[in-house]
Amino acid sequence: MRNIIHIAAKDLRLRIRDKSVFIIGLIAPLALAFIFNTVFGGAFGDDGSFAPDLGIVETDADQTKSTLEEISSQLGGTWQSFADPSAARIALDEGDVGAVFVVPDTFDDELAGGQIGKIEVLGAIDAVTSTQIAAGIARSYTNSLQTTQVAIASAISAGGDPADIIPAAIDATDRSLISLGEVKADVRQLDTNTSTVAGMAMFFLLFTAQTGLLSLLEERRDGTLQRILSTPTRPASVLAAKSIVSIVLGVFSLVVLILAGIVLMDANWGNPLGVALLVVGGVLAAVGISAVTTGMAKTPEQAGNIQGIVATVLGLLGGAFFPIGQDGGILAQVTALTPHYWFSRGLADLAGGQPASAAFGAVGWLLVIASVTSVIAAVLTRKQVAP
Amino acid sequence: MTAVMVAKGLAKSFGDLVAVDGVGFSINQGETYGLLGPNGAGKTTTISMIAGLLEADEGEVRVGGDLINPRAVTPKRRMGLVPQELAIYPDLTARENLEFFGRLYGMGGSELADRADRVLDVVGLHERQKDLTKEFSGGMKRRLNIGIGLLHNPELLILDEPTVGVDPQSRNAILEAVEELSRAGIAVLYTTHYMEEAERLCDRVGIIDQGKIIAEGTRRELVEMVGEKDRVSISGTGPLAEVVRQLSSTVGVAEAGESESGVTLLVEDSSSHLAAILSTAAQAGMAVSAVEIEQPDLEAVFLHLTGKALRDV
Repeated sequence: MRNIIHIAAKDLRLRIRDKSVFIIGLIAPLALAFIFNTVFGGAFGDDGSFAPDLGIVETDADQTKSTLEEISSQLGGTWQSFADPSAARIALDEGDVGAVFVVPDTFDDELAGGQIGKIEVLGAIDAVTSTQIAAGIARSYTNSLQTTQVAIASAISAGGDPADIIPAAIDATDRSLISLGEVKADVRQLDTNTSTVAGMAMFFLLFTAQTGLLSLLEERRDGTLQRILSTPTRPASVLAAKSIVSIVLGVFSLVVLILAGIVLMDANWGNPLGVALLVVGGVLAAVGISAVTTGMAKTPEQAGNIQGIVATVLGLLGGAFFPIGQDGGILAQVTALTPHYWFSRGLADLAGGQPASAAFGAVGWLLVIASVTSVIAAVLTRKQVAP
Repeated sequence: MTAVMVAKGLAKSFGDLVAVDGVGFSINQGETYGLLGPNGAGKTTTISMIAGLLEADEGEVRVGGDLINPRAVTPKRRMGLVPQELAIYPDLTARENLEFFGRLYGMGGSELADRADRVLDVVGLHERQKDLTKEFSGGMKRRLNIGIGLLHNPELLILDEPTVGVDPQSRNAILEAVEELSRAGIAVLYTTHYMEEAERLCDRVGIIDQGKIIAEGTRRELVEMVGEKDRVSISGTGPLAEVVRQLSSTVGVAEAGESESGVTLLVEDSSSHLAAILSTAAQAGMAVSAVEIEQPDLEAVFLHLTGKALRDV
């Protein structure tokens, strides 16, 4: 046990001396937080939800215009009107608005006649999320209108009084659309800056966590591992020391990132104890995965390359770059195998003032990932500490 | 003599390659044992098994009576390893390197500080102890590499070609340090490509080839084993033909002949027979002005046994 501490202390001293601990633990997370703040900071509302800036081209379809404006206003962004599509496109190009609805003047009249027209969405090339949200609103609106039409037709054919049925159906339609904004807290991990930062944090963590373990291969290459093993030090102690260094660096960098998120982005991570548990679980899972990739490699360079591939694939599958697997199916199952998913999920579970226990499930799955990968790594890294 | 290290029947194969096949030898307290052999002969594999870095397929190694293997802890406290390649941390100072490895041997406090001071003196780095070793010359790094192996005062010190790439001054300092260790009672296992180092340092030598120790003993024993003789050149004047005739029948003289400056003899163990030879030469009428003795070296023994010159392998 004593030699584990001596080796870990020596490694940390070397990391401090070559300044890599500052690069990994401070500069990189702060840079990431700065980038997140620059990219997402202005787009998020006070509660961390996404606040798209939307608009509409002036139209005679007043009822639809009013409904779209009401829905958009609940998302917290700005709302603008444009005289014609050309003016809207200029505003989109200049970044003044994220997406613009184009509703035909005859939309409401056609609706009264039983026809549902098309709502066009113009999107800014740099505002993909805003455009997707606007398209989703338009799609939901037209779908709900179709549903309402079918419901009214069915009620009337069943002998109902149109004078009672139609106002009730319209009221129901409005409420279902408004609920688009109300459910956002339930899907927060998919739509908020917290989920984006959490996914990227885990992506970054996979590189940080490998730092300590990489020194195993570096020491093997430089001959110092042989010398350590010629002392009264068991091979397992060397592995343990390297893992401890990875864990310390991982926790340090993640804490810095989280604190930077609070300061720079006013991020609300949730219950501190729950977040701390998620950090520990996430770091252990990342160290386990890093240990597997290190165990697969013969040189530090090879380990770095493998880790880059693994981190990118897991990042993609885990939704670090964009959400996937929301529609269920195989991707949803694969996503659930990544620490990114459970880390984001845990943070989402803590959202809205939930107690630390809300994250227990996610922390448990992170520990499962850490355990499974640690067992695999223990087998693979045995050859790393062999002469 | 107490045997500090005893290796018996060591064998190790890597797939179909038999790297070491039944190697066994022992090293006594205060003895320096040289392991000589061409590249690929099995030296490093043998050393790795003795240092407890590699599990032997067969045989055993005991250090201080304790069995050693990669999982052993106690016997590793009794030995120090100086690997052929530098095994130091360039971003630590000389003292920090010593202290780190000292702690792995369970040292600490004033004991560690005192030993570090002592070793820094021995390897001549006391004044540079606070400098990062990446700023050291190659010779200084080599000396520190050795110092780490000495730090915990081991009973057995394994030195694997410690002077490779070292400048003459540092090399001499290293050899003096090894001689000092031997005098202090430390058992030393020494491998080298430099025959003069083996001749200077080693009390006994084992020659390993193709995984087997093919000869072992003191230099004299090895020379006798292969039948090599001393070359004695006697310079002087007189009836050289008569001198040669009489010396040819002298005990210990295998061959005798005239040379430009006198006579040249091939003698078995010249140190034992030199007095009789000189007496015979004088009685035959030779006025001796100088005597030069060239004893056969380990290079000749090595060449004889392996068919290769050590420097060429």
